[in-house]
Amino acid sequence: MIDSLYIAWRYSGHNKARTATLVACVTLIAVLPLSLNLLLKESERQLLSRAESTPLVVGAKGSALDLMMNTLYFDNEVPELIDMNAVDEVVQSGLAAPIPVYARFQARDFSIVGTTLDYFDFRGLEIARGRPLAVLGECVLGATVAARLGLEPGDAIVSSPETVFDLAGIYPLKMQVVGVLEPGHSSDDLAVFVDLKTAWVIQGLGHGHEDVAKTKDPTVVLKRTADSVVANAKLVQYTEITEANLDSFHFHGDSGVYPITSVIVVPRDTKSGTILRGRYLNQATSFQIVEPKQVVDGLLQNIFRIKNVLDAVILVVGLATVLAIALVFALSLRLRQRELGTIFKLGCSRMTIARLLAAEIFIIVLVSGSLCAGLMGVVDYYSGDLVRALFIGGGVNLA
Amino acid sequence: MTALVLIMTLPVGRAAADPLTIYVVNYPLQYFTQRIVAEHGQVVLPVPADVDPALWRPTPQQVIEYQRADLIVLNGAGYAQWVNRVALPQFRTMNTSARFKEDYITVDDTISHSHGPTGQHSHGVSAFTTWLDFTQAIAQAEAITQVLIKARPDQERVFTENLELLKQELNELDQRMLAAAQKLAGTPLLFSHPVYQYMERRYRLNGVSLHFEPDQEIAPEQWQGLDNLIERHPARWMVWEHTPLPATAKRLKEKDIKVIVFAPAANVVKTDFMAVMRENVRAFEGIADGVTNFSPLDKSIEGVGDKSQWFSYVTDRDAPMDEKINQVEITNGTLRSSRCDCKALMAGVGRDLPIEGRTAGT
Repeated sequence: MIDSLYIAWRYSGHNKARTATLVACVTLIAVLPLSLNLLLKESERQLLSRAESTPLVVGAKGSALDLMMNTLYFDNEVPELIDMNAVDEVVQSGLAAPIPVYARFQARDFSIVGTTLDYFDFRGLEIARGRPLAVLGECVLGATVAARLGLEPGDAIVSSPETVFDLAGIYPLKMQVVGVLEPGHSSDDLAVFVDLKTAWVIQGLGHGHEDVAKTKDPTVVLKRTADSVVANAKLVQYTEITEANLDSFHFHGDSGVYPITSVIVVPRDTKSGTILRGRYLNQATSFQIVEPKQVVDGLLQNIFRIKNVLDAVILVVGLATVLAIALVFALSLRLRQRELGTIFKLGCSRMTIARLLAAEIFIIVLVSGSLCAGLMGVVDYYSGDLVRALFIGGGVNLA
Repeated sequence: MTALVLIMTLPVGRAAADPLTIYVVNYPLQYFTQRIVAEHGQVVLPVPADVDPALWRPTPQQVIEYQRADLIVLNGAGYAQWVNRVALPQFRTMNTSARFKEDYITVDDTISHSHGPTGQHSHGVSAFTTWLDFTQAIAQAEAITQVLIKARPDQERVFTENLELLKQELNELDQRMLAAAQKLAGTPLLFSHPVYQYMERRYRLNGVSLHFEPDQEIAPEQWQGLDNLIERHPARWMVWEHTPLPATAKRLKEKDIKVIVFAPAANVVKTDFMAVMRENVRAFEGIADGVTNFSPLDKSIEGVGDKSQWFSYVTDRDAPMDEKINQVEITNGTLRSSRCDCKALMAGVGRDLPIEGRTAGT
C-alpha cells in the first residue's frame, strides 16, 4: 500500500497543474457550503445573543429593524430621533430602567455611541486599559477601534463632521481617550463610547466659550445692553474640553427635548415588561417599543430562506463539479492508456493499477481535506469579525 | 439631564448586609442621609472642609469614586454644577429635590447673550439652597428615605423611624421660623449673599440680597450701593452666611445695621446640621424679638399726629406696603391694623419716631 501511495504521490507531483486543479475544485466545493454555514451560525449567534440580552428598545415609530440595528449594532442607518422625554416616560412608569443611546455621529468611520454609564454595567463591559468615562469630552474605545487606529489612553480622537459641505456647521470635537475596553466580540468592540452629554456637545447643543459678558475683546461684541450681549462669529467656541475650559461648557434649552436615537429598556421583571409593552401599544404615542429578539427572529427567518436557496445552488454546483472531476479522471485514464499498459506489461496486476489510481484520488482528497480544514479554521477564527464587518458592523442590511 | 431614581440593582458582588456606600454633594444631604441610614450606610462628602460644595469640582479620580458608590445623592436645583459635566450612573443617582422642581426659583440676575445660531440665551441657574426652606428639607429627606428603602427593603422600619425623628426636628425649626417671620411681617432685611431665596419665599421675608463676602473687605462702591439701597429699603438687620470681618461689622453698625449669622451649613460644621440650624433660628428669633420690642405686635400706637401724617409717612417710607394702607386706621388718636402685614408699617414708623410711652395694648 505504501509503495502505491509513493508512486501516486510522485505521479501527482509530476503533474502539478492537473493535481492543483483537482485539489482546488474539491477544496472549494467543500469550503463554500461549510464556511457559509459557519458564518450564518455565527451571525445567528451574534444576533440572538445581543438581542436576547436586550429586553426592549423604545424608539421613534418606523422601521423596527433600523431601530434595532442602530441600537444593538450601532448601524450607520440612523433611525428617526426621539427626545429625552422617552426616557422620562420609562422612569415615570416605574416598571423599568432606561438606558438612553445616541448613536448618530462618527469618528474615523467608527460609531460614536453616547450613553450613560449604566450601559457599561448592563453589557458587562470591562476596562482593559485606562479608566472609565468621568468628565465631559472623554471617550472610551472598543477593543477593535483601539487596535485599528492604534490609540491608547492619553491619545485623542476627533469626531467627524456629518457632512463635509457644512463648513459653517458644528466644529468637530477633539475627544480625550481615557480607556480601552476588553474585547467583547460584539459591536461594542467597534464603538467609540462617550457620555450622552458629550454627544450633545458634538451636536452643538452644549458648548463652551469665553464669557461674552466679561470679554475684553471689543471686536467680539456686536451689541451690548444692560442685560444682553450679542456676540458675533468671532467668538471662539472650544473644540476640545480641557480642565481649563470645562467650567465654561453649558447646555441650552430644555434637556427634556434633547435628542437620542433610542432607549434600551430593562424591565424589573417579565410582568413589568409585558405591561410596558401594552402601554406603548395602547397609547397614542409617537414612540414604539420593540423586542429585539422578535425582530432578530424575523430577520433570521429571511436569512435562512436565502440560505436554503444558496444551499440548493451550491448542491447543484457541487454535483456538477463532482461530475466534472469524474470526467477529468475518466479522460485522464484514457490519456494514460499507454502508461497503464506499460505498468501492466511490467507485471502489475489490474488490482495494483486500481490501487495506484485509488491512491492518487486519496492523495487529492487528503490534500483538499487538509486545505479545507485549514481554511475553515481561518474562517472560524475570523467569523466573529467577518460577520460584524460583512453583515452587522459594516452597515449591510440583511433584510 | 433628569436624574433618575431607580436603584434597581446594587453593584454585582455586594451582599445585602454590607453597609451602603453613599456619596453626596453637600453637608445637609450628608446629615439627612446619615441620620436616616444610621449604621446601615456610610455617607461620604469628599469636598474639602474649607470649600463651598456648590462651587467645588471633583478630579476625575473623585468622579470615579462617586461612580463606584451604591447611591449618589444630588441636591438638584442646579446645585454643584459639576454634576452636569461628568458621567454618573443614572441608575444609582438621585435628585432629592425632583419632587418640587416646579418650585425652583430661577435666578435672573445673569446677562443674556447670543452668538451663532442658538439665539439669545443666558447661563442663569436656579437658586439652590433648597434646604433653608425646612419643608423642602423634609421633602428631600423623604426622597432619600424612599431610595434607601428600595436599596434595603429589609431596613424599611429603621429608615422610616429615623426619618420621622428627623422630620419632627425639621418641623419644629419650621414652626419657629414661621412664628418669627410672623412677628417680622414685612420688616426690611438685608442678606449678604443671594442664597436665602427659598427661606425668603417660605417665611415671606422682605429681604434684598447683596454680594458681600464675609471674609473680604467691602469695596467703596458696594458701600455706596448699600447706602442707596437703604434709602428705599430701610433695613436694620443684615443676615450673613458667616461672621463678617470686624471692619465690615463696625461700618454696618455705624449705619445702624445689625449683623446676624444664618449659616446655610453647606459644608461640614463643627457641631452638626441641626445644632447650626437651631442657632440660626434662634438668631432670627432675636430679630423678631427686636422688632416686637421696638413696635410691639398686636398693639396700637397712640397719638402721634393726625391721620394724614401717618399715611404720608407710611407711603413715603415703605412704598411696597402702600397698597395695604387701607388696612390701617386711626381711631381716637390710636393707629390700628387688622392685618399682620401692616404691623411692619408700624415698625417702620417706630424707627424714626420714639415710641416709648406711646404704645398701648389693645
